[in-house]
Amino acid sequence: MLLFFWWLIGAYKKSFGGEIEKGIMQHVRISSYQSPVHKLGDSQMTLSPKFRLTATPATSSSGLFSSSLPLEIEMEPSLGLQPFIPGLPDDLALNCLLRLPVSTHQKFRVVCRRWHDLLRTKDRFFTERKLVGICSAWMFVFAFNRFTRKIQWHVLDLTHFSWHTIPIMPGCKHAGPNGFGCIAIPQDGILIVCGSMMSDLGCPLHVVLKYEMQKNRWTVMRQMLVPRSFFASGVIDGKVYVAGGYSTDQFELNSAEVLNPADGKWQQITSMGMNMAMYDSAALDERLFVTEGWAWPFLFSPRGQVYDPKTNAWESMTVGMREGWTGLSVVLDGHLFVISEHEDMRVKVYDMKTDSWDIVEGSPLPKRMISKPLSVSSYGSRLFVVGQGLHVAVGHIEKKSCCVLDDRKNWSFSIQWQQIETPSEFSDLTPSSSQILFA
Amino acid sequence: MATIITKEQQEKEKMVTLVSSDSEKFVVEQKVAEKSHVIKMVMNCCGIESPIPVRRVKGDILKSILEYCEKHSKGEAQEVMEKWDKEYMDKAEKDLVFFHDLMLASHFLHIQELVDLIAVTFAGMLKMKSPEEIRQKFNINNDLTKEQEEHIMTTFGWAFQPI
Repeated sequence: MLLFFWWLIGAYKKSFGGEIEKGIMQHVRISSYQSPVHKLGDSQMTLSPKFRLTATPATSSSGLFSSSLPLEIEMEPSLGLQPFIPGLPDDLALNCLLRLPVSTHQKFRVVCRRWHDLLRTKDRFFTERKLVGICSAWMFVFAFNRFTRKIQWHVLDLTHFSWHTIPIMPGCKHAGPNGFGCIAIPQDGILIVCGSMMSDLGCPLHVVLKYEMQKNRWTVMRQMLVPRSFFASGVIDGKVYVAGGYSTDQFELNSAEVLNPADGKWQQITSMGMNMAMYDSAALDERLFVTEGWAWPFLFSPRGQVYDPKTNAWESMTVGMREGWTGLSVVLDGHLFVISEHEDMRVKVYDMKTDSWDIVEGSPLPKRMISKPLSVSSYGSRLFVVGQGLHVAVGHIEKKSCCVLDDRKNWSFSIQWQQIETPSEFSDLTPSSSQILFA
Repeated sequence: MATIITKEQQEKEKMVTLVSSDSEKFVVEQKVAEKSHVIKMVMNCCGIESPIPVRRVKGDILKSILEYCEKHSKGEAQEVMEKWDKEYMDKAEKDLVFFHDLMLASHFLHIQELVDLIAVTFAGMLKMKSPEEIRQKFNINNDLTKEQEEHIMTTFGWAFQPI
């Protein structure tokens, strides 16, 4: 059924009445499938946007498995629409509307057609944000239901602290999520998930998936050269490094490889020099640090290796670093922090000069709210810890220079915790990984 | 007039006069005026000797904008600036007409930092309102039919996909 309206647009009310606004109005971005640009006068009759009500499911603009709408309101682009906000040039209004918290989008979709079209899909929203130059941080949490094992992603807006979802990750609806490697390329708004473990088969795969915020969809990428799970990963200079992990037949791997996200190709790099599955890893100082961590009954000191992409070589991790690496790590402002599992969940920071770990002053992680298993990420001077039920604690880190000795500056850190409210629907969810993206 | 220019005179010459649409004159340092990309371009091509007319901005708005530019050209600590910005916005948003004019003027003068600050504040003002309040307050014509409106309200947006 097609409905056409004729609709008269009054003269565009200009507060400053000038060429500048007019110039801007002619560059209004209406949609990605824009018709050729018509020159419009100030006041004229135009063919209004065409509403098409269709009973066929929407061709999924939001991903492979997203729920499709029973009815789709499709808007044909047309110039001469009413402004987003009368009295404001559209680019200025967009700058405001693209900052509306995600949680308000549903209610604001009924304001008018143009608001509806702007806030209807996530790809449109994030593409527009990129064009306008608005960028903020979003925390992507990879979680699974502890009863059904169903895996899902939830996204926390770190500006307004509201939650939303993304399309379901293709391929693996029920799997052991801990074997995945989740790697963020924050500035590009890209998330890469590789390796996995089928819960039925117990075998790791070399599947690689990419999620792009501006497209709001998953893409299947070229497979890893070696199938692996529970492996180390990190981004250095825009390239994704993976190392070690378990092979298909559960043996620990020695090999390592690198992905260039630009062309999607994997390339082998020097092997680690020891077979090792990862406990934790971190990209720091343009190097990849990998440790297997302490294991029961704590008889042997954990092993650790460090990769330098410049020389394509591995070397042993220093003793102090690998012995004190007792929890999940996060890099913040060029410093390596861990939430220590064995020391009352205190935060420690590594000092490379002295090869030792210092306790970060302040209260320990608020354990009443945040319980294991955890996932950790950082942005600016804050670190974000996600626990069971997707409860989130934000640690505000303060850095102070305390003394200057032998030409080297020592820093001291302190931390203050703050808690974020989480919807009760998340209570059965267990986090596996959290990554920060900008868009 | 080949006279030797002393340092003091040089400093003095870095002042620029801006004239608002209602002929109010403002003498500010060049670095303050430079916060506006548009004024900076005008100064670069025409110099700062003669007063620069800012025809589309009224005196009270220009005064407020220059107050912002002056504060932001001092290079103070981020925390201090954030607090100041908040107070500045709290004051501005009390009068919607003033806020609207400030928004347009900062956009016209191309002071991106201020435009972004106002946009954040404006989005904050909008988010608490209902769609009907928004339509009324900002004179937006609801061009959706009742049917379409109901349909939109009953379908989940991407933000609310069921878990």
